[in-house]
This record gives sequence, structure tokens and C-alpha cells, in this order.
Amino acid sequence: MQLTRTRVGMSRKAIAAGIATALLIGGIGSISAEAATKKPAAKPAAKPAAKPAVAKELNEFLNPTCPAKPTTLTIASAVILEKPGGLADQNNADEFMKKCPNVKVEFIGIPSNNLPEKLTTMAIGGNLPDMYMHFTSFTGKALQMRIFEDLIPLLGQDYVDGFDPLFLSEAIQGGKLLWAPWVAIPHAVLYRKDIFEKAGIKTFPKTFDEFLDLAKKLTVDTDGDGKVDQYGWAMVGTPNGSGAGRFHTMVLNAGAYNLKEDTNGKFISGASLKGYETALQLYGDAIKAGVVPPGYTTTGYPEASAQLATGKGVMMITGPHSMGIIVTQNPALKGKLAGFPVPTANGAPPITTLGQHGYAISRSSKNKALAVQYIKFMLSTKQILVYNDLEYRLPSRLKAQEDPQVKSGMAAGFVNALKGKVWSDSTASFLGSVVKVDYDSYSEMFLGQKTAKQIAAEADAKIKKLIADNA
Amino acid sequence: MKSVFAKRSAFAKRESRSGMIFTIPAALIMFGLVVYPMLYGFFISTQKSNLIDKWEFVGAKYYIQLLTDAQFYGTLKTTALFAACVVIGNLSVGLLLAVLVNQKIPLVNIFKVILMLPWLFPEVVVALIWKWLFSPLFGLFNYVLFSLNLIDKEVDVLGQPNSAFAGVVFVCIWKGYPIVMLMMMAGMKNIPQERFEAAAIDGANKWQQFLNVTLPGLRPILLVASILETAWWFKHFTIVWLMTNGGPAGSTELISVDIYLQAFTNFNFGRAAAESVIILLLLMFVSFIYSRVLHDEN
Repeated sequence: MQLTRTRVGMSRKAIAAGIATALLIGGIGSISAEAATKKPAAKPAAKPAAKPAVAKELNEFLNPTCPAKPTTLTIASAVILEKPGGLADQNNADEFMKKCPNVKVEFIGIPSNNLPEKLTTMAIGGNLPDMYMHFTSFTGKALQMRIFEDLIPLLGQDYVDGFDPLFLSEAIQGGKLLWAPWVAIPHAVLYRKDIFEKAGIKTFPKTFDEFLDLAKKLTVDTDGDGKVDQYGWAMVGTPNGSGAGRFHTMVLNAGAYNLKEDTNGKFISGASLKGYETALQLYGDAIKAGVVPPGYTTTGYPEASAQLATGKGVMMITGPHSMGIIVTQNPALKGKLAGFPVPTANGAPPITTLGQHGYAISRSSKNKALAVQYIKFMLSTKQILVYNDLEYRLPSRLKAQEDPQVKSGMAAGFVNALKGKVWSDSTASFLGSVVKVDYDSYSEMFLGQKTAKQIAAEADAKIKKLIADNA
Repeated sequence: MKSVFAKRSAFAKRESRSGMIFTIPAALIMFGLVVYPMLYGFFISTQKSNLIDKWEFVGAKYYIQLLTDAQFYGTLKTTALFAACVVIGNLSVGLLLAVLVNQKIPLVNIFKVILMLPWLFPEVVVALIWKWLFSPLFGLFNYVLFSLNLIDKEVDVLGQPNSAFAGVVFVCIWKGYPIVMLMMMAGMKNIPQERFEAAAIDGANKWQQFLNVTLPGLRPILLVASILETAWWFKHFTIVWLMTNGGPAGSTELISVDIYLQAFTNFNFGRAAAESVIILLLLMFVSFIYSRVLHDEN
């Protein structure tokens, strides 16, 4: 009896250990097998470049080739969630589905600040959609995960030549087109023309000091109740990509940067440059001067846009798309918004960022041909101008850029910003961590417990550590 | 005798085998949903990987990195303080309200329902609502303070480290106390009424009855509540992430936020997994301490 019990007891333990070991080995084995079998898809054989036909056919693909069988095209998009920009995305899908009734376009809406995390999770889970929205900040991760399909063979070189070269300079990496550029939102200073006129302001600031002085002048009590209710600078101070992107624009215009590659391809930190400290100082001085509405640490892009819409804020470092959201909230402001170039620390020529995004086709997609049709359809002049009309985002196609609505009116200031220097973000896979260093830095500056010099030095050390850890 | 023993032995074997067969489905589910992910997580913590096609064994590198990183200890300290404040708050508020609603007062059932409401809201909704309530420009909190002339300048609750920390703790207590209240109410129902009567006969007042009858009677429930609450709030993420993103300047950066940032911003899954394993071991240790301290010998 005793012996029987002992043998059974030992068997139970042995079985439990065996199951655990089997699962572990199975898990490791499956990962190894997966890693071994997951090889990059063979590049489709390069088709001979199509002879250029009539010029318009390189741009207008309003009659797509529809698939024979009912097909669902899945697209991960941040724009679909935005107002009013989401209407452009939906319009593309609706019009395409009219042309191809057996195609269902299904959007997976992901907020833009969460897009990198969500796409990473989807890639790991092996369930990336057919197409996904790509922002330049995601380039490093996309390259590391190799989740994109090279679009040059799919779209054709002639078609690719129809993109603005500025867009292509970011979208082509290692000879491959990672995504089809759609629109851009270069940074400038968006301002309320009506408030400027009321305050008698006729010239734009060229330096940080002039910008701060102007913000002070515009920070007033408009209704005489003794409380300030109009602030000069609607600053995006949230600790996320939105805030960090605008901060980095000021860093660039102070003569520094957060991360770039040197001529040898080695990553270097720019936080040790004086300009990083100067940009932090500007942020600190603005808070101290009281030209920023309270709650700046929780004021994100939507909140800052709302401040301009309601007149609580007068100026905002942003792209032209903010005009779309502001006019949607306050239609009376149509025609009363405009942009001027970002001021620089010492009056040097301003620098902006392209801020483009577009759509990539997943390497794992089974509907690549259909995705190509959809991309060409949505980039046709008629379709792309719908988005420009809604949110003033600048189109990537050269032909669409010629349309008068793109360069005139409220968008003019932002188009002009692209005539100067344009900065492109690094393609480091750890760029997200560097962005975190940026937003941690200005968050520290808001607290006022450390000097800009100290914070810049700490930021430099952190970026250098990131470079070393990812070497 | 021998044949009886043999029969019993065969019966016991059949019984034992049947028992094992019946537990296999549950065991498989447990292995699949609990043990395997834990083992896989431990495996990832020993790899430098993108979880797709890049795997490099690095052994205990990330554990050594973490255990020698002052920032990690800082985050751990913030998390421990956060968990302690929220757990103590939940237990205190939950217990107090359970005692109150346990009285025979009119409309007590309506109060019970109202007091349960915070727990019914999703955490995302709670975080966003309170974020707006605390907004210095548009929020009700500042409006009320201004109306009562308690302030003459907006208070940015989530903009300063100390007040942001207090703010998220408050919101988490607001969200978390109902479940503790519910557990305490259930526990109180199991305390025999005779004990209270005996205490009253011995001359004990309400406070003495609470200390000497209610609290000891609730000991097993307190143990369970403490362990569960500590584990939940130590690894809490949603409310803090949505309200402050771990800011300002890292003052509300909990270990869960750090793990999320390591994995999805730094793309460092190995280190994130190593942090998770360390937290698991820490929480197991804390549970052990709780069970020793609050062990009910009866």
C-alpha cells in the first residue's frame, strides 16, 4: 500500500515536471522554428518600367482594377479617428468601394500616439493588416522588424517619380520605398489673425526673445474681470510624441537636435549643444512669464487646438492640420488663421520638419495588388485634395501640389516653411526612447527645480547611454 | 485480508486515476494560461529580441542591469509608496463604509448601490473623467475652489509632482474602495451576532466592539483583501498612464509604466520581461509576509 502510494506520488510530480518541461521545450522549439522559417519574403521580380503613357495616368487612378472575388482590405489608420481628417480617409474608402463593390475596406482605428506600440504588437502577433499608416518616427522600428513591402516594384518607378522628392528622401531607405507618402504637416507658428489685427501686430518674431515678448503682449485680461483669459502661447506640454515633436522643432531652431547619424553612420547626441539648453530655457521662461495657459503638462494637441479655437491661446507651434480641427470647432475662424515661420534662437534661417505620413503595405499581406490599387486611387489628385481641403495637409504628389488651393489662403505660411531647411528624423530603432528623453527634459524644466544646463546635460547622458545600449 | 487490501489498492488506484483524469482539463488550462506565459516571459527575459525574427541569448544581463540601476530602485520606491497609499486608503475607506452601511438605517440599500458605482465604471472612463475634473482651465475642481474663494490662481493638480501623485492615489482609492467594502460587508455577515451581544453584556461600547469583535472576525477577509489589493495596485497601469503618462518628470512613473515604456518605446522586450519577473517574485514574497502576519490560528 505504502509502496503504491509512493510510486503514484512520484508519478504525479514526474508528470507535472514533464508537462512543464515539454511546454518549455515546445515553446522554445516553436520560437526557433518560427525564427528559422520566417525569412524575408522574396522580392517580387522587378517588372520592366512601364513606358510613360499620357501624363495624367501617372497620377489619376480613379478606375481601379477590382479583384474577381469578394475581398476585405484591412487598413490600420490614425487619421480615421480624427476630425475632420477622418472624413478624408472614409471618403477614400467609400469612393473605392463604389468602384469595386466586391471590396470591403475595413479600418482599424489607432490613435497616432499609440500607433508604433500597436503596430509593434500586431507585428509580433503576426496579424498586421494589409496596409498600415506610417509616420517617419516609426521608420527605424519598421526597418528592424522588416514588416513593409518595397513599393517601388509594386507602384512602378514612373509612378514613384510623381512624388515630391522631399517626401521620397525620407520614405526611401536602402533603395526601398517603405511607404507611399500621402501628406505632410510642416511645423510653423499657427496664429489667430483676428487677434493679431486687434492687437495691432504687423510683423512676425524672428528670434526666441521676440517670440516671448510677443507672447507676453498677447497675454491679457480681455474682459476686465482681473483674470488673464487670453494667453500668448498655446503650448503642447504633454509628455508624449505630440509635445516632444514641437519641442524638438524649437531645439532645431536653436541650432541643436536630439539624435542624428554622422557621416560614418554612427549615432550622435545633440543634447550637449547649446541649442538644446536654449530651447529648454525658452520653455522655462514662457512658463515663468505666464504666457502659457495653466495645465500645460496635460495640454495635448487637441487641448491646445481647442485653446486657439476658443481664443484662450493665440499662437501654437504646429502643422497646418490644426487649422482643420480649429475651424471644425469654431467655423467662424475660417480665414482667420495663418502661419509664420518658427522663430530661431539667434535669427538664423528657420528649420522645419516635413511631418509626413502615408500608407505602407505589410509584407505579410495577401492582398498586395489590391492595396496598390487602393493607394493609387487615394493618391489621385481629386482624392488627395479632399484631405487638403479638410485639414490643409500638403499633398505628396507633385501634380496635386500645383493646385491653387494647396498653396494659398490659410496654408500659405506652412507651404513657405518648406522653402527653408527641412530636418528629417533619424532612422534609429530606439528613436522612441530618445523622444522620451525630450519630453522628460521639458517636463523637468516645467518643475523649475533644475537649470536648463543641468537638464540638458542629463538628457545628453541618457541619449548617449541609449546609443551605447543599442550599438 | 490480503485480497481485501488488494481490492482496496485497485480501487484506490482507479479512484486516483479518475481524479487525475478529471483534473487534466483544468490543469491544461492553467498551464496554458498561467504557467506557459510565465515561463515564456522568463525565457524572453534572457533574450535580446524583437520577438519576430531576432533572438540573442544574453542570460542574466537584464537582471544585472536592473538590480544595479538606481532608476529602477527609484521606480520601485514610487510604486511601493503608491501601492501602500492606495491599499491603506482602500482598506480604511472600504472598512469604514462597510461598518456604516451595516447599520440599520433607512434607505441603506440605496446608499450601498451608490457607493458601489465607482467600481462599475471602466478604469479608462474613471481616468478621463478625473483628468478633466482636475483640469485647471476647464475642470470642476478648480471651479469649486474658486467659487469658495479658497484659491485665487488655478491649481494644476496633475502638473506638480506631489499633487500629481496625490491626485492619482485619490482617484485609485475612489475607484478601488467599493470592492473592499463589499468584501468587508460579506465578512461582517459571518461574524456571529452572539459575540456582539456578549461584548455588550460585558460593557463594551461600539468602538470596543469594533476593535475586539469586528476586526478579529474580519481577519481572514482582511488577509485576502490585503493580498489582492497589494497585487492589483502594485501592478496598476491604466489610471496612472491615462492621467499623467508617468509624469510630471517621472513622479508617477510606476513599474508597470516603466515596463510598458521599455517594451513599446525602447523596444527592449528582454528588459521589460526581466522587470516583470522581478515584480512577480517581489509580490510572491509580499504575499508570504502578509499570510504570516495576518495568519488566523483558528
